[in-house]
Amino acid sequence: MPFFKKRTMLSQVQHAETIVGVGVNLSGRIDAKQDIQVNGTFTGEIVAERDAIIGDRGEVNGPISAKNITVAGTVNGDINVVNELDLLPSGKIFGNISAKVLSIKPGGILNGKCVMHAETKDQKIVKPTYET
Amino acid sequence: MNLFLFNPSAKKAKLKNKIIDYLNHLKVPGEFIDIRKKEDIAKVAKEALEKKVKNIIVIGGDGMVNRLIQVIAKENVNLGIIPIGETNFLAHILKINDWKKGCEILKNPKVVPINLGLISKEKYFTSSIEIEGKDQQSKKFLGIFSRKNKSKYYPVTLSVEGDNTKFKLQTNMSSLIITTIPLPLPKNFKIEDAIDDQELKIIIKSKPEHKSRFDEITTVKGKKIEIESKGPLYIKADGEHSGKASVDIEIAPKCLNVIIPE
Repeated sequence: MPFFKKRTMLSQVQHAETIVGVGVNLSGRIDAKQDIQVNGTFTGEIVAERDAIIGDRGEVNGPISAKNITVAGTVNGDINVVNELDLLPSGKIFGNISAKVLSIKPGGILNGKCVMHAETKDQKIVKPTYET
Repeated sequence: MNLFLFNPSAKKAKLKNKIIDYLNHLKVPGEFIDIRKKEDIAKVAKEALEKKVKNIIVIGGDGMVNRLIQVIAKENVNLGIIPIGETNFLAHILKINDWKKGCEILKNPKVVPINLGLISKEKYFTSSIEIEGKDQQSKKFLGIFSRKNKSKYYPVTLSVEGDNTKFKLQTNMSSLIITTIPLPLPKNFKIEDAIDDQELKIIIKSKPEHKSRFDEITTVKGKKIEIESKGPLYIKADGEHSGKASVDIEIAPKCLNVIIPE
């Protein structure tokens, strides 16, 4: 019986290595080697070596760094992307962004400075510097 | 030298003679001991360590393995498994899918050190622990009908630490699983690949928002987890009940040598 229950739950686990479910609150710092998906609330810093997805009910209060980021929820903080930042119609970003490719769908809200950086050879995540 | 620990109360215990015949056919020598009480496993294992037995092979399931590893973790002895009985999740992970395979690999044993989990610095588990806050027992209604309690959600706080990771997680959970291996198991999973990934995986089922039918699933990773809860938490390690309390769980890297297929 316990083994059966374990299988039922696991069938709902999605592909990202780190998933924050709706209604779950996290605070602190996450360093994710694989994809991360936030559908709940995260307060702190996210550093992902691959992709970060903020679900439509997700909220991140703090900076996010990742290879590609998709925002369908709310981000209150700076975003630093190696490749593409995709802001969906339900997405809201209140902070500065740095990306190589920026896509804002109609309805998406961006309040902050935007720096488009050229392709870097080593593709490392580099924190942007902003003029004050 | 091989020491075989046999569980005569396991399902399929009548396989014992077949197993002995097969081991003789494979020319795998050893001494057989019947374990009639669970408590005897620790005593027998300690005596085996004193005699410097090379391989201790469990002919049984996860429960027996769990009791044995409390004694042999971090010791210079190898664990083998000939799976019989109801639950053999560790054998499944190690790709020992039936008792014949468990016997065959003893002919030319390949040994790897695997990671274990450690609960409150005193109890090991091989693959997973399940923690629930709900009451498992059904209640009698009017002395006649039995009715299971509805699933309950318990507020918990998890403090998780990893290499560059440190966070607190708060939720109303119904259950959570902590494992030493990736779950769901990838198709071509090999235990050797999981050894260097020295992190625990945590899967939490929590209260759904709004009127969703399904619980929310949260998955995170870390090397050390502290779980705090106001209510009692019921803990099952490798399928065995391990008490109820607020606990801390950490990875114990490469502390058990196991015999696996080539």
